[in-house]
Amino acid sequence: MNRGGFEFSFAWLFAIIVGVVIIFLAIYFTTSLIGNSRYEADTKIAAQLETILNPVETGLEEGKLIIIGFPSETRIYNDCNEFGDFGDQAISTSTKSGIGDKWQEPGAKIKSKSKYIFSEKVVQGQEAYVFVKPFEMPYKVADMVMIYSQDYCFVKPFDDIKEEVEDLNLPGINISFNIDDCPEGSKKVCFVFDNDECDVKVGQTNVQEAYYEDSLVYGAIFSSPDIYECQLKRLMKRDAELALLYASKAEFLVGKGCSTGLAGELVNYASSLEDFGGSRELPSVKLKSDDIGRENELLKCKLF
Amino acid sequence: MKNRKGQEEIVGFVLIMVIVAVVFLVLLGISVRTGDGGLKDSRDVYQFLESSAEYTTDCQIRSTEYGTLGDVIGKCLDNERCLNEMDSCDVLNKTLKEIMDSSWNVGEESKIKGYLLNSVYQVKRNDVEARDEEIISIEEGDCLGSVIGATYLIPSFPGKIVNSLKICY
Amino acid sequence: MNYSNVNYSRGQVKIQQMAFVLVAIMIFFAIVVLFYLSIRVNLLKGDVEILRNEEAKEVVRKLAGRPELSWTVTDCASCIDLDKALVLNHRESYEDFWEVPFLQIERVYPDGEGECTKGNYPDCRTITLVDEGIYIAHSAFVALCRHDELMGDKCELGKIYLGFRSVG
Repeated sequence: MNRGGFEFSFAWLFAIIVGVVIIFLAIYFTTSLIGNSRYEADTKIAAQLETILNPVETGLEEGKLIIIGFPSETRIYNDCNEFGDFGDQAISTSTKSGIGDKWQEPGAKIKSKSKYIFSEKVVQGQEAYVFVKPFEMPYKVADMVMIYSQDYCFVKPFDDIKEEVEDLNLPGINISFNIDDCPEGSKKVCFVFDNDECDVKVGQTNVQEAYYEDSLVYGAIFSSPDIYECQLKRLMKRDAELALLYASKAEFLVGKGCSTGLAGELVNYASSLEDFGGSRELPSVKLKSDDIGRENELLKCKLF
Repeated sequence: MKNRKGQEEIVGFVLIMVIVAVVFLVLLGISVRTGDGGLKDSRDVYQFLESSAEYTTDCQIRSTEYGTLGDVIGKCLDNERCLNEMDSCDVLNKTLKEIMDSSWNVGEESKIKGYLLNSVYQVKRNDVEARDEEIISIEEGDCLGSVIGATYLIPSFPGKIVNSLKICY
Repeated sequence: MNYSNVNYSRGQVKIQQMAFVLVAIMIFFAIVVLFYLSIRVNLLKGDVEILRNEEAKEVVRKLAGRPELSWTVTDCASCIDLDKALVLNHRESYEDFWEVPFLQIERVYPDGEGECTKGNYPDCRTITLVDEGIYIAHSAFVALCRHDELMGDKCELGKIYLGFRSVG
């Protein structure tokens, strides 16, 4: 009798092999399902974010703030496409998870033609701060939606910016008159002075390479340069379409006893906007828009 | 003897369960009934009041301008006439009635059984409601069932005009 | 004759009885709780429906604030520029802009008949900007403002209808 031997029947062998295969398949399908569920969940979060941003638009307000909280740390991906009549805005999200990859690929993109989100390409955090300002040139074109989640330190900000930040009590934004007083880890935004520690330098007409007018300064501060230029081009396209719309209204009202004389100017304004090449052309656009705005104010029957 | 005792126990148990069930149903019925009724704040009614206040009436208030319903309510409060010799309260009454008839389908056979619309001028003196002057009140139908309503305020220094509308189902 | 001795202790019988009673009580209370929950959930569904409708009305109203439709001559959050809406209709560049299946502006008072064109304006009833597909429509009251030859800027009462795509 071979006492050192071990009897291993075929039945046992078969059972072990089948068991291993079943366990392997179960783990594989479970992780794959979790992955798909996360994709689905991330897409739902992006869709919900899009829905939350719908009623955020300003009416007669000068500015608005909302705070969005997520159940867990979330990344918001901002994608801008300037092609087409209005371009489009795409947001997608991805959540942090303890199962599988910490951050997986974002869910499906949710697109919109009428939103203009100025933010970094990726905004990460458990809370996102949404600050909305109307953009007018010279009539209201759209709402600029600034999304940020990190802390900022505004060093020697302009009076109007300081007032706006204080009035709206924008969270995460510290106002300081000395760069050394800025909280650690905050993004330092320096207004009209230079210092090596400044992360963002704001001039009278530009934020580093990006030129701005009026409320566009917030877009330039809170978003990456690519996103800013893309959204600005989209805003100009919308401005051009609105100019053509007002021109049509002006022509229509001539027959209703309201002669504005602005139709031709608005069509020219629209043409100049259609060729808009970037933020460097903003000053000339602003001049034309101010002229149209002034003429409209003097009218008995105003167009806007 | 033993068998009967078991049966008695079961009967007693079932009886208790039935009593508890009946008491529970009665309490549930009461709580569900008290959930209904009362005035529900309605966004629709508020938007109606807000939009109606912008309606341009036939009452001329300046040489090239005709007053909105909101303006005419103020004029009616002060018993002023329009520049085109129309009585502001007559214009208000007529316009409001027509707007209500066009906007809300009221009748015995329709979902809406009645409404009550009124405008009241309120002014506070030393944090106390000093004066409550009714400007206009329009009523139609019966208000017996559930009610939805809203209030829209028009500032009128030193007080305010409170316009309220109740729609009855 | 064979017989077997079966020895039941009194305690075991009592335990058995108690077990049955407990099971019966658990089932009874489970039925009661299920009944109560189903009624509460039904009431909640009703409340959710009302809240959804109110929310939808706000979304509809917000659409009226879009620069393409809003009346900006005076400060009026609830006003739509009817002249703009008329010239906006059938503009090619705005074909896919609204991203909704149905968008219509209707004049409620004074009433009118028919779809608005440049020929019958303003004595008409509706301006339909988008109408495609299957949807559930919600409406909100708005003021419809335009320029009038005799009265200058004139506002009337209207409604804006917005279609929402039904899910599932």
